[in-house]
Amino acid sequence: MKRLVFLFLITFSFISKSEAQQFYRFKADVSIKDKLSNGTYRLTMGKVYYDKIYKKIVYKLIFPKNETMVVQDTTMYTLNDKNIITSASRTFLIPEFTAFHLALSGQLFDYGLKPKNNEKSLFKIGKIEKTSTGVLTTWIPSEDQYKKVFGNIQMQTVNKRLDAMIFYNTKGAVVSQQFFKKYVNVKGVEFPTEVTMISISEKGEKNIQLTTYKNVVIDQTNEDEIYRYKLPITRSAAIKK
Amino acid sequence: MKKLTILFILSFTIFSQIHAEDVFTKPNTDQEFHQLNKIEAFVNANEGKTLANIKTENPELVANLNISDNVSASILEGELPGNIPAFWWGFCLGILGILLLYLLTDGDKDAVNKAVKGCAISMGTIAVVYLGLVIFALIAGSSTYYY
Repeated sequence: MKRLVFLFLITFSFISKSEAQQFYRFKADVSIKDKLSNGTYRLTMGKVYYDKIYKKIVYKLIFPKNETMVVQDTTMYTLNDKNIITSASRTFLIPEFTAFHLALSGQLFDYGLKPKNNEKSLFKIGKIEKTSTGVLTTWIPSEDQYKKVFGNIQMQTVNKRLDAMIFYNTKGAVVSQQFFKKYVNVKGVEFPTEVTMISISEKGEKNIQLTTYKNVVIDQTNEDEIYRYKLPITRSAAIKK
Repeated sequence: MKKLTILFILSFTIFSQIHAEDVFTKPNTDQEFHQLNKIEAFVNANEGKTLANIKTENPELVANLNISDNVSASILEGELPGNIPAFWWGFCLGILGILLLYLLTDGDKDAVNKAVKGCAISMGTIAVVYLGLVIFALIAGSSTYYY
């Protein structure tokens, strides 16, 4: 009996440890295809690197041209193949809200909408329904003042994996549909390798974006210089003030 | 009449269900991205080929295709949670919103100005409503008779 208890304790502590394991690096080959409502197409190919500690997203692109894009501290820097910064623009892209960060933190199933300890959340759960395909959760703005700006969000999970998200505006019209498909499990990190996003304007015009990931690597120990990408001091004459 | 009502309710329920399912059905994008898939395969097979190379050396791949090289827009498009305009940061969250925006945008004056306007309009609206309520209460109070 003692042995059994001992075995149970060891197993339980092992499970707890594996569940609490924190992953910190994400790398993958990425391909982003866009079709805009005005008939313009875009194709972006390369590799994406993300480190949860450095909080930098680095895109090493090969198409449409060789260049590097680094997102850090709400700024997106573009560097040419000679490692010279050619542009810097402000962005609301916050690493903590990217799919990379959420997947590494095990929060992708609810897209990080669920507030952490004592955090104030913009959304709260309004309704949970079981459907023929999975579980449908409706998130509503947590405060009346937020309802003036944000509409509801519907989230479908299939087998505890985030499958689709529908964003509505304050009038109840769909403004964005996002689909998360073809999950892979790498070292225990679940990641959708196909993400489709459809943005719909008030006029009903649609932009479609398909992002595919291949060769997902978790917690890579080499290529540290890319994950911590040190921005050069040299900037092109075009962006010097 | 009852039959008509039931029929109406039934058809509405079915329509709602179809609509709800449609929203969660991923559209097939193969046709949309047929030509981009070809370019992607070509680039994977021919390492180092850029859009400029393809336009000069393999123009048939981009024939009749309005292709843009604006990469940053592509990368940022999928990553703007909420895409909240600066004005609403100030309008909804007040001074806290301005402060947050200031920190998030590294002191972007234009964005902060918009948030300040939002905050001012929000406070103005609250003040007007409050004043209206006070006036209403005063009028209501003065027109009350006690017997």
